[in-house]
Amino acid sequence: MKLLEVRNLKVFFPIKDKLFGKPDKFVKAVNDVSFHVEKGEIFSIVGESGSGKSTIAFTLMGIYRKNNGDIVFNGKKIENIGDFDLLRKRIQIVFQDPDSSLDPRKRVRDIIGEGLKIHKIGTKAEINRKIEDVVEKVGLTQDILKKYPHELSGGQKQRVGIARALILEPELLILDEPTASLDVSIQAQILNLLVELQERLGLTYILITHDLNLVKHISDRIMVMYLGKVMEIGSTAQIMSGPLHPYTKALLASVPVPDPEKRNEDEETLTGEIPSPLNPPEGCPFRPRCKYSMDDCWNELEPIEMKERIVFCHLYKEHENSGGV
Amino acid sequence: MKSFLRRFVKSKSAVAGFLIISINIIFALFAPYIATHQFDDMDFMYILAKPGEGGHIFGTDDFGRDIFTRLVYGSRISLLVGVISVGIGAFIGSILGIIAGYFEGFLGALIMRFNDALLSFPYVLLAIAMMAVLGPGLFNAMIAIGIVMIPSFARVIRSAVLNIKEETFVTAAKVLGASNMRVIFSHILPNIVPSLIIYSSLNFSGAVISEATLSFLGLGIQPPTPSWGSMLSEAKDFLQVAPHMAIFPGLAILITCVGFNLLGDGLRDILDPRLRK
Repeated sequence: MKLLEVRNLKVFFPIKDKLFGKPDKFVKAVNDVSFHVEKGEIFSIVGESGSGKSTIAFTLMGIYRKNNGDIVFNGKKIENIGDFDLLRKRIQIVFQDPDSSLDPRKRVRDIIGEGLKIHKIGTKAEINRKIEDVVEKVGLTQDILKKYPHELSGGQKQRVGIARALILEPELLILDEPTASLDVSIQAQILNLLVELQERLGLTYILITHDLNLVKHISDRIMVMYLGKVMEIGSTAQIMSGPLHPYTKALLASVPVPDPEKRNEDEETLTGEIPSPLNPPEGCPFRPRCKYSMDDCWNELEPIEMKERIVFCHLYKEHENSGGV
Repeated sequence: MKSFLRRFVKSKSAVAGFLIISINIIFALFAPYIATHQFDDMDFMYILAKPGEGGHIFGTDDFGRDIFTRLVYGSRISLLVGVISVGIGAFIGSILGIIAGYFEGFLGALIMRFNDALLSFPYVLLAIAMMAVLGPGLFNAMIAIGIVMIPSFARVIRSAVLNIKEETFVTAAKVLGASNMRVIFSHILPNIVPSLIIYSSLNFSGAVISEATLSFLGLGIQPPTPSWGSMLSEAKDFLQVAPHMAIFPGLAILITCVGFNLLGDGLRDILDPRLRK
């Protein structure tokens, strides 16, 4: 069952360089992106910084306004701010940086309980009980409730962030690089907690990350993004074992292999820089850095569907509808 | 509240500031009992007397008036001017600064450009213009000084708000569904209080001096009622022959400002959970 469907989402940010008048330049942060998320799965969005993955998250949360496209949640189209407000309890987000995502002047109890207060859910006693419940769920002890964020460790802060998101009992949890700013030893703990919570509470996750190792271990399906566009969507196994898009191949090749014997010399490592989103390349955005680029690549990309996976690459045009690679 | 008091007592600077200001307030409240003379009594035997001469602890001024007495009475005016005009400036300036910083856009730009226009006037000129409209008098002087302070408060608060509102915890509150009002009062305001306290205590001395300027021009407090500022400006003609006329009111202003700054510093530390042990 599709919990969330995003169709042709476009999010552009205007660049204002004039005092008056309309802006004439836009950063196309998310440009014509479509995907869906099944109920109960872990859907990963992978890409370099600037690929638009966080923009998608913030648009789903109603922080950024979409310019175009549809967001359908549980069969209901989400159009204006009012719709997003209704969704607050059902979609929540865990932020990347636990240091700045907790108000330094509030106690943990107030931070976790804020969602309930905003939505006026329950009496004081009920709120307190719910707070104590959720604190236990994320593996913290009750004495943390009267502490301030600066008294907590990085891992504890991130747990508080997760508790704050969970207290509204959402169906969909967006994880925006949930482990990127944590110590390696803590990363595994938080990851295990997230997986455990997902199984116990029947949650659906959208995991936003650039860490391919992380994705490999926990996600069900992967969407690879580059410069605001989708490159490839498929199951984790499909993409990890047989990436189609040259960009995905390059991304996978960039993951360090712990065994020096297995190091591959003719890897498809990326050269060059990611182009400015202000002035993206014509046709395929990856064209200037792609070693397979050909004349066709100057044309707009069309999604090519093969066996439940979608790839946006002209290389695979002849395979369209043939069902094979 | 209990823990607030406990932390207050522990903070040396807060206690020191509190003591200085308390002494000031006691002087202001009980001026007739503390003063040794009448503030407008002229002792013609001891004009420009040095400190200690003829029973005048801090000496006398060019009219033979007891400086200690005038300082004690002057604390009434100076404290009032400092507190009320800083209060006006901080209150209205914060509101404007928060609106301009939080909402940016057209409204914010409008507020800030108006602000810039006000800032481009020399502030004494602005205060004088204000007094011309309001008419002379102590109360109007406080209002004028307060209004003159608004733009600088608005600017400082706006930049603090711009900083805070980009923090992830503000986004987190919005994502939870918090209204703008809730974000402002529950997340932004508590986080700009330190800037507000520090800037207010710095501006206190400015307000006392501004009152002196206005009084000197005959727009503020009317003679012979003393204020520290007006005593200071009267003293300027006698700096060579009777420096004590300027030294004592100057010291009074200095000590009071130090008191407010210490109290402000202490309060900022007490209110910051990160600095709690």
